[in-house]
Amino acid sequence: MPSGKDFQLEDTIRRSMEILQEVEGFDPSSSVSPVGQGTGGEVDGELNALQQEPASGQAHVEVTVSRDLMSATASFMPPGALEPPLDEEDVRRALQAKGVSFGIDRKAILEALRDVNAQLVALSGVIVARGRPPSNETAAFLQVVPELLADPVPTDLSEASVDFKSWSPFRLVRAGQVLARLVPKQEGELGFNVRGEAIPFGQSEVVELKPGPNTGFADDALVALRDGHFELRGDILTVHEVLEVAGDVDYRTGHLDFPGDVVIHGEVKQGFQVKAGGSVFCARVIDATEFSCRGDLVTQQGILGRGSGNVRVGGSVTARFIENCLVEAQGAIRVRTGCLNSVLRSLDRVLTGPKGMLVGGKIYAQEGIQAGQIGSPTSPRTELICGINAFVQQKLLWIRDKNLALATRLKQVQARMAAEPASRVRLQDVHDRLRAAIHKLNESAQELMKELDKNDKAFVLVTGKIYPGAYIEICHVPFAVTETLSGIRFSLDKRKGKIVLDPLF
Amino acid sequence: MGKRILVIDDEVMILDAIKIIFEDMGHTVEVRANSQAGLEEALRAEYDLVLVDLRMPGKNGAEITEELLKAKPHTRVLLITAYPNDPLVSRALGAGAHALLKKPFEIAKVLDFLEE
Repeated sequence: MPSGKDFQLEDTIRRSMEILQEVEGFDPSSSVSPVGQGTGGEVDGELNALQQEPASGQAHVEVTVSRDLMSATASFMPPGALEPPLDEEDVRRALQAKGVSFGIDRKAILEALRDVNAQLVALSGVIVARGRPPSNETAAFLQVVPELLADPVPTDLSEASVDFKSWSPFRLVRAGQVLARLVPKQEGELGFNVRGEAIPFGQSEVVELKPGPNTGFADDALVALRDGHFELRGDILTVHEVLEVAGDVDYRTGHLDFPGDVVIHGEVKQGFQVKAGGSVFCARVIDATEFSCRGDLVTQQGILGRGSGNVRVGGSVTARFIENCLVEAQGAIRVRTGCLNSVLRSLDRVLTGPKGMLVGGKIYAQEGIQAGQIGSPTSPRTELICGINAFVQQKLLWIRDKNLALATRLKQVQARMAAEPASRVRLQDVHDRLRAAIHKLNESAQELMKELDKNDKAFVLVTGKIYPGAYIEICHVPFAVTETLSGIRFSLDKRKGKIVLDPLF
Repeated sequence: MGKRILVIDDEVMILDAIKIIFEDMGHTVEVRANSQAGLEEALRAEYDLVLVDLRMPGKNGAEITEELLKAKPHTRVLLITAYPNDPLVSRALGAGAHALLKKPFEIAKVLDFLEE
C-alpha cells in the first residue's frame, strides 16, 4: 500500500496525465473542437467541470468524533484550482459543528492545512482533538523492596548446580535496612472528553501492607528495627527475632525453646530438644529427639532419628538425607540423597534429588511422591501412600483404637449384664456411657472423613528403579510392586478404581 | 443410608468390636468367624462390602476373594492383614480385592468404600 507521500505523488501524476491527454489531442488548425463541436462556452463548461471534480472537490473539512468521545479526527478535502485555501476558520467551524472544544491539537491542524493546501491532496484520519482520561486516586501504600521477595530456597532439586551450602530459609535483614518504601497518595484528576465534558476519577486498588513486629517508619520507608528474619505473611511485614547458635545444640546450650527463628551453625546433638516459633536453619546434622518448628526447616546435612526421633514442621523440610526418623510437615519434604527407614508425612509432596532414594519406611504425601529410586533389592517394604491427608488419617486411627477399646469393654459389660441380672442396675450407666462414647467417636470419624481431602490426581513418579516390596496406595486404591520396574509413573484411574502404570521413557 | 457389611475374621473379639462400631453408624453388620461359613454367606446374600482376614484357618483371604469374585464379580472386597508383605496380598489384589486394611481394620478406608 502506498504511503501518504506516494499517494500524493501518484495522484499528482494521474491528474497531470489527464490534462496532458486532453491538451495533446488538441489540433489548433482543426475547426472541430477535440471535445466535439465545441464552442468557447463548452470549453468553459469543461473548465467548470474540472473545477468540480470530486477528487479535488469543494474544499471542506469534516470532523468525526469517536464513540467514546475521547478523540476527534478530520478529513480535509483540498481546494480546487480556483478556490481559496482552507484555513483554521474552516476547521474551527467543523469542530464547532460537532461540539468539539477540548484537547484541540492546533499543531496537527496547521500541518494538515499546510499539506492539503500546498499539495492539493485529500487527507483523512487526522487526529485534531484528544480527550484526557481521568487519573484514579491512589491511597498511599507500602511497596516491598524487590530483593526481599525472591524465593530463598530452590524448589527444583533436579538442578545439578544447587548448592546446599547456600540454602537458607531466611531473608536476614539488619537493623535500619529498608524493607518497603511508602508510595505517596496520588490525588485523583478529572478527565475530559473532546466535548469538554468532565469524566469522574475512581479509586485504584492497592494491597495495603501493614507494618508488623520489629518494623518502623523512617521518612518514607519502613525499616527493620532489629537484626532478624524478614517475612511477608499475608499483608503483614515482620522482622522475626533470630536466635543464632554459634556451635552445636548440646550441653552448653541445653534444650532450645525460642519464639522466633533459629540459626544453628553446628549440629543438634542426640537427646537435645529444639522448639522454634519460626523457621530453623541448621548447618549440620540434626540428631533429632524432639524437634519442632512452626516455619520451615532447612538443614545443609541430614536428619537422624535413631528410630525414636521425631520432627514436626509447620512449613516445608529440606534436607540432604533422613534416616530412621518420623518427619511430619505441613509443606513439602525435599530430600536430596535419600530417606531410609523413616516415616514421612506431608500435606504437600515428597521429593528427592534425581538419584535420591526412598528405601524402607512409610511415606505419606497428599500431593504425590517423586524419587530417583524406591525400595532396594534387599530392603524391607517401602510404603507410599498418596492422595489423602495423613494427619486426618492419624486421627482416624486414634479413633479406631479408642473405639475398639470401648467396643471390647462394651461387649464385656453386656456379657456380664446378661450373665448376672443383678448387676444390671449398676452396669446400665456404664453401658450407656460406653455406647454414647462410641457414638460420639463415630460422629467425629464421619466428620473427619470430609477432611481427608482426597486428591485423586496425586501420583508416584520414579525416574530410576522401583523394587518388589514397594507398596503404593493412591486414595486408598492399592498396588503392590512384584517386579523391578524402571521409569514409571503410577496414577489412579478413578473410573476403573485401579492404579495404572505409565512408562516415562 | 445404612449399608450391609459382612466381616470374615477368625478373631472373635475383633468381629464383635467391628459389629458394634459399624452398627452404631447405622449399618447392618454380619460376622463370621469361620472362613468357609463366611464365603458361603457372602455367596448367599448381597453385601455392599465384604471384609476378609487374609490369614485364617481353612480358606485364606486370597482364596475367598478369588472364589467370591468369580461368582459375584461386583462385590467389593477389602482385605484385612497384619502383614502387608504377605505374598497372599498380591494374589488377593490380583484377584480383584479393592483395598488392604491393616489389622484390625482402618476406619477411613471402610467409610470411604461405603460412601462410594
